[in-house]
Amino acid sequence: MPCKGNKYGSRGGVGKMITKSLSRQHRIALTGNDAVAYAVKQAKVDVISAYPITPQTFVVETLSRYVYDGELDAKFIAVESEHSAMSAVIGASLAGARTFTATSSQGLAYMWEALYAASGLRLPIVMALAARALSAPLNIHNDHSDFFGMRDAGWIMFNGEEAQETYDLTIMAYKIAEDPRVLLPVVVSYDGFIVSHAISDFYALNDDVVAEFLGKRTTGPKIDPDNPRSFGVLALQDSYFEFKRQQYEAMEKSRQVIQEVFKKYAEISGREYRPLKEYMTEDAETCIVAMGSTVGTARQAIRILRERGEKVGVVGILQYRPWPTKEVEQIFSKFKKIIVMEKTVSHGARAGPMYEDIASTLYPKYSNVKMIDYTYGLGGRDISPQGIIDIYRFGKELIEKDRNDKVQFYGVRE
Amino acid sequence: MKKVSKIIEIKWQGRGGQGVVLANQLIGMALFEEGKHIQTFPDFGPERTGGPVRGYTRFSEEPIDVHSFVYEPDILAVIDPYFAEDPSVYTGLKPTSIVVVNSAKKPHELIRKLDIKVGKFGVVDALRISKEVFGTYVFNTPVLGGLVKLTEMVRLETLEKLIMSRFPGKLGELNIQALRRGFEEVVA
Repeated sequence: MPCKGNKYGSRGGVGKMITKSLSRQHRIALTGNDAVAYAVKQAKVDVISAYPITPQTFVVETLSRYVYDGELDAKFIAVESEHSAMSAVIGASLAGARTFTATSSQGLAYMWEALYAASGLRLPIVMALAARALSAPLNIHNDHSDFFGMRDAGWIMFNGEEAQETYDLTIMAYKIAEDPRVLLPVVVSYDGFIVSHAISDFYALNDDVVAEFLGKRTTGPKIDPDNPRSFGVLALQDSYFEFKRQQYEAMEKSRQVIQEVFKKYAEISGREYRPLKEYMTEDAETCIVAMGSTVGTARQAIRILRERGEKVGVVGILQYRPWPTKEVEQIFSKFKKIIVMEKTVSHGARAGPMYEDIASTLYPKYSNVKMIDYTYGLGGRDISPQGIIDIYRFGKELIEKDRNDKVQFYGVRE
Repeated sequence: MKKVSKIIEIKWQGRGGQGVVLANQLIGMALFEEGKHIQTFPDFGPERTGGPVRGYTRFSEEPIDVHSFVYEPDILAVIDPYFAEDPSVYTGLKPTSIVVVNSAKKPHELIRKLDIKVGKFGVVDALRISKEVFGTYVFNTPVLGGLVKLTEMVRLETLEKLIMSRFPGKLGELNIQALRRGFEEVVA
């Protein structure tokens, strides 16, 4: 059964396209954090500014070593906080530099006002987010609360399942962000510890291939003393709204650009990306939806369930913003039941953010599709294939009994 | 249809400071060098010396997409001699699992005490080996040697090359000595 939109085609082994493009890449084993640093080095960024926070720290450590060892000709700006890190890359990006920063959890929260400045100024900044739970209580492990927290900040948002996707997305992020039709910042998120600290094998493109793919940054705002312009101006009742409308339009246009970049990247790497990753969905009646490393674990659960004759598939959300409306409608409208698994909790809401996105995409045209929302894995609570099998069984039963009107919690003591 | 893929799962158990993370990485990287798909990761809270630390490695001929902890290890390595006698460390083992522990006791004594049934149960006296080789406590490489002997999952030379590239000079040489002694002296 084909697995569309995924790195190895069927995930059953290295596909044909990989073999064809093997001369352009090399096999490598790194942690998720080091995979990001490796991609950033190959992207030949000009300026890096970041503040260390678990579990992102190694991205910054590795990059500072690349700069110190002369492997990367970039300016590394050490700062005292994430607010300053984002501010520094905003300044550098305005000056025309290709920039990078990385953070997690509280660090992202501390960046908050600058996140909106980066997108409002239309800066092609790329940020890595090793996703981690938010305090209090203090926790260093993975969930997606920080990621969903920046949902409306105007950033293009991707979520990598493991090192391969995170590496590929980091490279593609620059191509997308710097496209003159887009000029928006991009965040590439990957699960803290589960991906950030796990060494796994993947294919990295050769340096010259990445250099040719990305070229130099030539677009976007550029402070130029010979051609003075104003940036970040005061825009009151008479013009602020127009800026925001243009920004909205840029996000809409990014859909097409992302599609083009995915296609170009597939040509050089053999890895074909799509906003949604489908697995065994063709004849599925029930679909599990997840994000991040859980998508892989869910594929294993689906294989077990399929052996038991269950008609179930999984869809992984790779591209979260812009929300792939068309693809979601096309794929999800054919299921009878949808079980959404979210590693975040939206206090006081009807459901978590992914559930609401899917529901609002399907309604009212496909209101016959039944849905249920599960919160799981907060603060790094492990999810195993068996856990996903449980969620499938309970979720399906609750839908059948019409008891799907509120958020369910899986794997919590209560 | 795609079958449930055959993945071998390894679990390491020890304490912070005993080299669980490093031994786990070494075996993962050795498997990678020998062409396997790998996934190797630690399970720790805030790192602290003496606290329990687990490490997990999966390997397979096919890409690995499971990302959970390892609950039913095919291979278990226990670096800490106190944990070697703690029944809770041995949960989830299968009748085919291979176990190597750091202990001065005989395998049958431990098997009887723990009341477990596994494929192979090996004991490495890492305390004695490490005292003789390093003059101090280095438990991870002797246990790793014993594990390689019983599982035959990688060649010793692959590990030795990795150790030397990571710890050039005297430290690497001593670790290789400890690795070889664990390999030769494991009692199963």
